[in-house]
This record gives sequence, C-alpha cells and structure tokens, in this order.
Amino acid sequence: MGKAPRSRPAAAGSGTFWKGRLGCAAAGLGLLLRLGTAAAQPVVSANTAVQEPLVTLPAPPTVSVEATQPAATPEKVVPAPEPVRAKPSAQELEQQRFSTRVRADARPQVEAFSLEGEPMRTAPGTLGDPFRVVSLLPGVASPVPGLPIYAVRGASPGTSGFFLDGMRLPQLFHLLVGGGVVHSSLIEQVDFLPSGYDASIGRAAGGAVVAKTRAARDDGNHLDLALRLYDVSGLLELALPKQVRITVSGHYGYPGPILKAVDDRISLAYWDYQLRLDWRGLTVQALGAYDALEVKNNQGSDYVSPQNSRLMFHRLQVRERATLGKVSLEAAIYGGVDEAGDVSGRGVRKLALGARANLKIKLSRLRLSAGADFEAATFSAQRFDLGLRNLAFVRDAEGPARTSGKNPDMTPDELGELGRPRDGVTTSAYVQGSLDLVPKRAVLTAGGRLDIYHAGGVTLIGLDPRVQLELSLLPWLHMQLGGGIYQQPPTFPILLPGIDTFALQLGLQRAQGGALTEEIKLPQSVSLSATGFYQQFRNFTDLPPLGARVCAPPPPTSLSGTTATLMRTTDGQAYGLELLLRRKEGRVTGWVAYTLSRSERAYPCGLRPADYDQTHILNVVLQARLPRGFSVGARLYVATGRPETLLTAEDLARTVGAGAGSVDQSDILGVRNNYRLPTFVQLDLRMDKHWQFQRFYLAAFVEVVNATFSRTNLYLSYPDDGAGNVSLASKPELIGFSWILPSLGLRGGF
Amino acid sequence: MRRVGARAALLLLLGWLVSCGFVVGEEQLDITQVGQVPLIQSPLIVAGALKESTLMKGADGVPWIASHPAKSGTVQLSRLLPPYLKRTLLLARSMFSAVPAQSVCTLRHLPGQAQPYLVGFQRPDDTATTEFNPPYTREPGMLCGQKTLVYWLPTEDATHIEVARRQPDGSVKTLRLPWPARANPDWDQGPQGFDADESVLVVLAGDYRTHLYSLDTGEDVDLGVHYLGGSALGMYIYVDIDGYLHSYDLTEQRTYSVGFRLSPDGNLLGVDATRGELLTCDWDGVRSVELKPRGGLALVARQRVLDSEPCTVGGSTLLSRTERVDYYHNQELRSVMLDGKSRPKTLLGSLEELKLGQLLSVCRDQAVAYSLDPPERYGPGAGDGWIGARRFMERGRDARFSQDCSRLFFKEHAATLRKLGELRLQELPAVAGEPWPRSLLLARNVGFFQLLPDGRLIAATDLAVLGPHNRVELIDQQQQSSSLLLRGVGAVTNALQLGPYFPGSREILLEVDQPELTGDRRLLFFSVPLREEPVPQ
Repeated sequence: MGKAPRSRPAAAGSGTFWKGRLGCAAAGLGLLLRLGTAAAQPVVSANTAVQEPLVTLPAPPTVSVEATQPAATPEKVVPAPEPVRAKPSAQELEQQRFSTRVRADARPQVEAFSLEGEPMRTAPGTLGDPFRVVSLLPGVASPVPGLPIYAVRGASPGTSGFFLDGMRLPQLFHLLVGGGVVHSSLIEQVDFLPSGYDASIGRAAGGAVVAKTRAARDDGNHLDLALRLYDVSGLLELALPKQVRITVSGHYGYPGPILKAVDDRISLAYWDYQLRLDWRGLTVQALGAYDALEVKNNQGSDYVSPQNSRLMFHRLQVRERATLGKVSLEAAIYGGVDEAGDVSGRGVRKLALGARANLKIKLSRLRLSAGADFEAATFSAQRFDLGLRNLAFVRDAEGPARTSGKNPDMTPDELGELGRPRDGVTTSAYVQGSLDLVPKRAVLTAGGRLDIYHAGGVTLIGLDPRVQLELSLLPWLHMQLGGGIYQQPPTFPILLPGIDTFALQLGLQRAQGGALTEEIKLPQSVSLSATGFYQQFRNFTDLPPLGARVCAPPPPTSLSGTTATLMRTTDGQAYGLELLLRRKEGRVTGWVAYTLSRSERAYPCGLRPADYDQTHILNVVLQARLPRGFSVGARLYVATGRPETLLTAEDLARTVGAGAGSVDQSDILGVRNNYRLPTFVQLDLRMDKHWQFQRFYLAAFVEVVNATFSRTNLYLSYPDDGAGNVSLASKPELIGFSWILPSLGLRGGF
Repeated sequence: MRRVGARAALLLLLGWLVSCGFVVGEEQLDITQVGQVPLIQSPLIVAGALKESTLMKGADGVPWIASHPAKSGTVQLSRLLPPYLKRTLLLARSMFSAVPAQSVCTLRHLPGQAQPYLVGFQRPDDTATTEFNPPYTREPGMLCGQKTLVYWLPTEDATHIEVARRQPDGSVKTLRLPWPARANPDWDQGPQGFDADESVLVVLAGDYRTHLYSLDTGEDVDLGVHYLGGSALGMYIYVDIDGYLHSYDLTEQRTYSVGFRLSPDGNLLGVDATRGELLTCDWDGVRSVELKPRGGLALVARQRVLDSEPCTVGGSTLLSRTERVDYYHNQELRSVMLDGKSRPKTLLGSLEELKLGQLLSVCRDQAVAYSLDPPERYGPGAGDGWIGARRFMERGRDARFSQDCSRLFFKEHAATLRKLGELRLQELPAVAGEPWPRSLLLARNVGFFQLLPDGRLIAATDLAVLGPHNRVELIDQQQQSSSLLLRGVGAVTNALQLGPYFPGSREILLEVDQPELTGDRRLLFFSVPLREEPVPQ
C-alpha cells in the first residue's frame, strides 16, 4: 500500500505551481504535474489557471499517516502510473512542512491528541520541539521543572521508552536547554502512550514515546535554517532522480553564554545529526547526538572533580517495507554505539547490532500483527568520575572516605555491575489481534509479548499479556479501555546512553494496570476527555535518597559500587484522573490539561508518596493567530511540589546517634516524603512573526520560558557540622535555583 | 458473536494467568543466611582504634585493653570481662611491653617543680601506679618490660641506669646500674632492651661495645663490638664486625663461637626452634648452623646445607621457625623444610620472567597466590590473582589461604576506593592437575574479613551503601551457612582475635568506624559464638 498523501488545504490560494508540465490525471479532475529538474521551466500560476486544486487528492485520514497501514482512502481508484507530485505554494509548503503530529494516544477510535503544523512548532514552553509537547499533556509530571525529565502516570522516569522509526533511543532530549535530539521538522508523528498500550510496544514498564520521521518531499529541494540564541539547526531535503530522496538535518548548540548568565560554573555543548535516504520502500537512516555538560566546583570545595557528563549515541538503520495484498511487512537491521561518561572520554560504551521484523495482516474483521526483534550488544567501560560525590546523598551513602578525583585506573570496579564488561542479548516477540466486535463501534485488541534478556550469566524472561477495548457508543461519545502487564529490565532512574542490560539479577520491573478514557465532542470544535488510570508497580527502580537518608530502600545486596548507590527498587502504585479540554480549530486554539494523581511507593517505613508524586498538575496552553503573520502563545503550568523528607529533631537525633556498632534502625524509622516542596508556577510566553515571500520564507520568534523566574526546588539538604555529622541546630536548606530561559531566533528557507 | 466473545475472554484470562517474569541463572550465594536477629545484641564498646590500643593481661589473666590515642595525654584501661572496669590515666607519655602487655609504663610531667618528672609502671588491674620521682630536668628515657621498668637521664652525663622490677608477690624492687662509659643517648647508645625473661638488660656503650647487665646479679658481660644481635632461644645471638657468628648462653653465661662467617650480603633467616639452630642465607645457600657447637672449641660449628644455591633476602631476623623457611634464589621464591629431608621447593618461578606484579599470599610450601598486575595498576595487594598458570581472581584483593592451604579466600572485583568486593572461596585440588571446582560466592560487597582458627570467617558485608543493612557475618563455609553477628556496622577496619594471646579464648576485638576514616573509632568486644554442630540424622 502506498503512502497516503498528507493533509493539505482544499484550495491552492495564491500558491504557484511551477517547474511542471501538464499530463493526464488519473482520478477526478486531477492533472498530473510532472516535475522537471531545470529551474528554467515555465511557471504556471495557479491563480489564473484554476480555483480548485489541480489534483484531487484523497481526503486526509483521521488517523495519522502510517506507511504500513492502509490509508482511509477508497482503494478502487484507478492507479496512477506515477506518484502524484505537486509543487505546492510556498505558504502551502510552509503549512505542510511541519506536519508533525503529537498524539496522546495511538487508538484511532478515540480522538487522538494531535498537534500539527504551526501550532505544534510554536507551542509555548516547548522551544519548538515536538517532543517537549509531551510535557504539556495530562498524566505527565515534571519532578524537576525546567528539565526534560518526565514521570508518566506515576512511573519512574527511567521506565519510559523512546522509539524512533522502530529503534529504541537512549535519550530523547539534549541536556538542559537543548531540545530534542532529532530535528523538529524531520518528525512526522509523535505518539505518546502513557499506559495501557498494546503488545507491539515493549521493554518499557512506564510510558512510551513513539516517533516517526518523514522522508524528504519529492517536489524539489528544500532548505530550512534556524538560528537561535543558543543553537543553529538546519534541514536539507534533496529529491534526486530515480525516486531517491535524502534528508540531512542537525543541530549545533553553543549555549555557553546563556547558561553562564544563569550560573557561570556551567558549560554545555551539544550537537546532533540525522540522515535519511529513501528509495521506494527502502529507508537508510543514520542519526546521532552528543552532549557534554560540566559544572565547575565552588571555590573551596573539598572535591577535586567537577560534576561533568558526556552522552553520545549513534544509530544506523536499514529498513524495508513492503505490502503484498493484505499483508504488510517491515524488516530492519540496525546497529549503534552508545556512550555515557565524563568529559575526559572515559565511560561506558555499548556496541549493538539488531534486527526486527513486523508483519500485519488485514482480514475482513480481524487484523493480526506480529513481530520479533533481536539485539546483541557488547558493553565495555572505563571507570569514570561524574563528580557525583559532590552530592550529599552520595557522600552519605558511601562515606567520606570515597572522595572524588581518585585515579579511575586504580579503581576500575567503582561502577559495579554497570562497568563490568559483558555481552547482552535481548530478544522479543509479540502477537496480537484486533477484532471488530461490532463494525465501527467496538474493537477488541488482545495480544501478548515475550521478552528475553541475557547478560552476565543471568537471563530474564517476561511474558506480558495486554488487551484494549475501544467503543464508539455515540457519534460524540467514545470510550477506550486498555491494560495489561508491562515489564522491563532494571534501569537507571534516568535513561542514559550505554546504560542498559545490566544488573539483571534484580529481576524485571513490572507495571500492571490499565486506563479508561471517555471522550465527548462538544460544539465549537471543543472536546473533553477524562481518563482514569491505576497502575501497580513491582520491583521498580526508584531514586536514591537525595536529601535525608531516611526510610530509603536499602541498596540491592547483589549490586556493588556506584550501581548499588544509585539503584533502589521498590513496589508501589499510582492512580489518578486526567482531564483534557481542548479547542483545536479556530483563530484561538489551546487546551487545559489537569491531572489529579497519586503515586506511592512501599518504603521501609510504609506506603508513602513517591519522589515523583505531584498531586495537581495543570497546563493551560493558548495560541492565537493574529493578522499580519503574527501569532502569540502562552502556557501556564502549575504543579504541586514533589514530596521531600523533613526530619524532626527526634528524627535527627536518631540519625546522628546511629553510631558504629549500634543496631539502631534510625535509617528506617523516620517518615519519608512528609513535606511538599513549594508549588511550582511557570508562565511561558511566545510570539512569532512569519514573512512569506515568493521563493522563500522568513520567520522570527521570541520565547521566554519561565518568564516568572520561578525557582526550581530540588531537595532539602541538611548542613553538617563540618565533621560529617548532621547538625541538630541547623535547619534544612532548600536546594534549588531560579531560572529564566529566553530564546530568540530567526528561521528561513525555501 | 457470543462464541467469539467468549473465546476472546478465555484467551485473555489465560494470557493473564501466564504473565510472569523469571530470573534464570542469577548467581546465588553458595551459603544460606541463617537468622535475621543479630547474634551479638550488645557488644562491649570501647573507644579507640586498634593501632592506638594495646591488649593487656591482668594479674588474674583477664584481658584488658589500653587505649592511648596519640596526643590525647590519656590512657584508658578497660577490663574486657565482668566486672567491667575502666580507668583513665593522665600522662605525658606511655609505653607498653609486648602484647599481651602486663605493664604500662607511665611518665607524668609536673611543670614548675624541681623534679618535674614522675616515672612509673603498673599492671592494668593495679589501682595505683608505682611511681618514681628522679632528679632529672629532662624527660627521662624509658624501657618497659612485662615486669621491669628501666629509666635514665638521656644525656651523656648520665651516671646510672635505674631499674624497677615487680616481684611475684607484687612488690617492687629497685636496682641501680652504672651508665655505660661515654654512652651518648643522642647516638642511640645506652639501654637497648631485655631478653625474653627480662633477666638481662642489653646496653650499648660509648665505644659501641655491647654489654649484658644481669638484672639478678648485677654482672656486666662485655660482648665486644658487633653490628647485629638479639636474643632468642635463651641466648644472645650476634654477628661481629668480621661476620662471625656468636651465641651467648644467658643461663650458662658462656659464649659459643659459631664460627660461620656471613658475607657482607649474607643475612639471618631466623632460628630453628626445634633444633636450636641458626638459619643463614648467603652466597653459599641456606644453612642451618648449630648455636652451641659440640666441643665448644670448633672453629666452624656443625651445619646442615638446606639449599646449596645462593640465597637472598631483604634483611636479617631472629624469628623462631618451626617447620620451613622461605627465601629467594635470584628471582625465584623458594621454601625448604628445616629437617633437610626434602629438596627445596620452588614456589614461584622467576619473577622477572613472569613479570610478577605482586606476591599476594604464600601458604607454607604448598601454594603461592600472585598477581601479574603491579601495585601501580590497582593499588598494593590488588589485581588479578593467579596460582600457577590458573587465574582465580579478577581485579580482586585480600587473597588468603586457609590454615591447611586447601582453600583460598579472596575478594573479587574489589578494585574500588572502598575496597569492596565479592567474597569468594576457591577450593584447591589436593593433587596438582586436577580440575578446580567452581569458586563459591560467600557474600557480596564485603569489606573486611578475617579467618578464625576453626576455619570460619568474620566478614563485613553488604557495604555498597552505608546504612542499617550493613552486616557483620559469621560465615561457616563448612556448614554452608552464614549467621548475622551485628547489624548496622558501616565499616569494620580491623580485628584482633584474643585466641593467640589467651589460649582458648573465642573473644575478638572488632574495630569499627561508622563515618569511615574520619570519625572516632570504636572497638566492639564480643565472644564469637561456638559453631553449631549439625544434628545427627
């Protein structure tokens, strides 16, 4: 099945077709415009030629475009001898260019949350990054406001999965102010799957972000360049002969000056690149990203090493897609290099090679899909120093004897299991079927997946059944119920490149539960949806105690070194209600997303709020298109502060009194997360101006993220008396920083 | 339709039932952890570190511990068994005799007084110190024996050496000995030490002649000039400046000329306590030399050649050997039995050929654990471990043999700053060439561990992160079990077993330091529980 055309305006307006010659149309009034290659071809103005589109294109599907799925187009159209190629107007081009969709759910029956075109690219608070739109959706908590660390429906951030064109990515965002690791204009679709998704997505116990890139447009060559205060980006599309299309894009960041305005100890560098080559059903992709962050020590610090980190990954994938009647196939092989470490070049390194295949069969009322993938990886490591021992909790946990700055060569086992050379094998298979119980009214999808992980002599096997039921009860009322079991191997609290398939002896992390969504379509293009969810967590990776070391799960006894310091596993649960009121058409669009939720963990002192728990999360996003190419937007974000541990004098006395040889259980007697950090309020503002010229366009924007200069609070710290003991007289200090992120940029292209 | 729905529901139910996760192949501990209640609930806690403490023995044979932190000006004496007593002595200086010390010698300073120094000594259970107030204006020099205190004015102008000796009935007798002629304490001349019975005081005179003062009779024996000497086996053994060996029998008060001449590079390997012979190491090999030559006038004492090939060691010692002695032949580590009935055994081939990094552990003449990693790589005592051509340890440390050399304990993957690793046991085959069994995992994240005489181990485990989960375990690899001794002890830095000093004792002093290297250290004293014998089936 061919790729369905994208949505486009019904009328060409003032657009101009050029470089073309007229041919026979295959459908309707359609005239085939066959593109030439020379710029000297005659120009035909659409203004004088026709008022209707020259080519009758199928109506845009209500679901996002997916190459391997049948388009919602009548199939009995006389097939065109050549693909339909049209040169749209510059404005049309501009509107088509950024057809990225961000969807809150992949279910077609329920109105998907999709954001596309200019509203997506100019959404306030996202810095123009489609991935960051995820943070504006219901069910997403940002425990560290300002940083792209998201806890989805109460799960740990490390349990989220990021997938791009079927490949799992170790990171989705650059560090700090850097945006997504993929050029925003290359992204065709982003599906956000908070929970309850089907069996085709695996190896993630939390939410999943599934993105697809697009091929270069086939109507000529295009270039888009953007210059912002802290990075430059570009995207080049080449339509070559023989249906070869190439896209090259990337970012290069130079955020030094703007970061130094916030804190002169911080230095950051990042870049990324993407290359995509398409030829018929074959796609060759290469992409990669690099980040280096260094935070210098305060003067007088006892610690030698600054906090620094370096992240890098590269991927190469060759993918073939084919459709044979009712069967569509996708097969791919891929390889990659992941690295995480310090800025000196030391760290962990992963070399991986994998393959996958997916099969979809469409019968009359039943759709079957199955897939399998395999990845073999080899991990190596050189012990590195991230300067973590500047952090109080690491000092507390490991003792002051373990000071920073020691020669890593002398202590190669410091990382523990993470740094052990190992070969890892991951293999998965899934099968599922979707049955139309009542055509166009009720669809039941059931399936399951098998995941096997092996490394270091340990094998983990996970069996995950999943089911979804989609109901269209009335034309304006839809419901969806989804749930199942979601398992993945141990992860770090935050996903990092090169850090996976380790510490398998801890067993699988498991989430089981589901979500029920009801959506009502209201007049004036307004929709209201409500989702209730419940998830139970088993053996979940949790944050180590950042502040007070009270009531923390003990480190796993089977781990050692830094791995043991950072890995804590707990059970827990999360439940909540999400409301989304949205207007998606008109001069003023936007939405109100509210989440009322509770995430809990079974700590040694009892069931307490999880470190990521934020009871109330409100996102109000408004965008307005103004005359003369102006558009403005604002986003208001209000969220309850995450819980922290406030020790009483009695707790402190117990902690301080826990001396050597004592069997005092002070570390587990205190009450954890009994205090809420202050509520965080953030206002983001953005204004865009667009100039459309005959052969090119220009755009300028100014955006201020956190215009209210609100303070991001990290944790409570208890000053010590200089001898390593918490002082009873001292009051806890709220560690955090106030920040503001202005962005100013220019963009142009053709 | 209904059938389809029922089938789907059944499929869903079955799928849900089979959902699960498995862990296959995880390396489990090869021992069973028994009990979660610490066996030691309330150990006796004494402030101090082992290196600043001295184990003492009271007059009634009860162990005491004396804590004397540097520059603290105090000595705290603690009785380790009921009734628990504690005494604190305020001092300028303290000295102890050999462990287990029966006396603590004290020096107090009384500023502003004409005779500002008080010199004394006492047993740990004495309620008062026997003190003397010599007419010295400088801090006196002191020697401290189990029952003897020697002090003197540390100047060339000294005239006497004062001796105080505790008698069996507890009374103290004093003795005044002449100061050796022209002895200058600034050049380390003057009193040097005692013999084992503290019946003889060795003194170096100004002309570098060694004198033996008999503390019982007051006799002065001039042994002449020699450059190396010490007491062992009831004799004073010394080497004169020409390299000739001599032994002076302290009981017979008679000098024997052993006559064997050491070259300038030659050294003493110790004494053969069984045969009363002296072990030499020189260009002519390893020899066992009679200390009391028969006939008394022989120019060269009877000697046995244990190894005829050249021997090298780093220095001389008069340690008592009972079975065998180790030494180097060129770069080769060798061991030879003292009975001379077997040929020398090469424990380790040429160090240079092997590019030997470090010698980790030697178990008699049977096994040597070594590392190819130099100490500069992972630190002293750390690296990959080898026995023969077989690698048993990866980036580990603390390789130690059991007493019978049949087992090897070590910490693997311990090249960390905190020196934590997996405690493993490698059974060694009795016959060379036999396959090695799999090494057993005894505990994880182990810091300190020490072998007990009965083959069990005390180990501080689960130390990856400090917290109440830290354990001190008693590991019985014979019964494949581990018992929890203490919980919440973050850092065990040392241990002293009392058994070697108090025969039959099962007590141990465990040095712990909660905030690691920075806080005050404490000694936990407790009795190691007896091994539970398996119940007969």
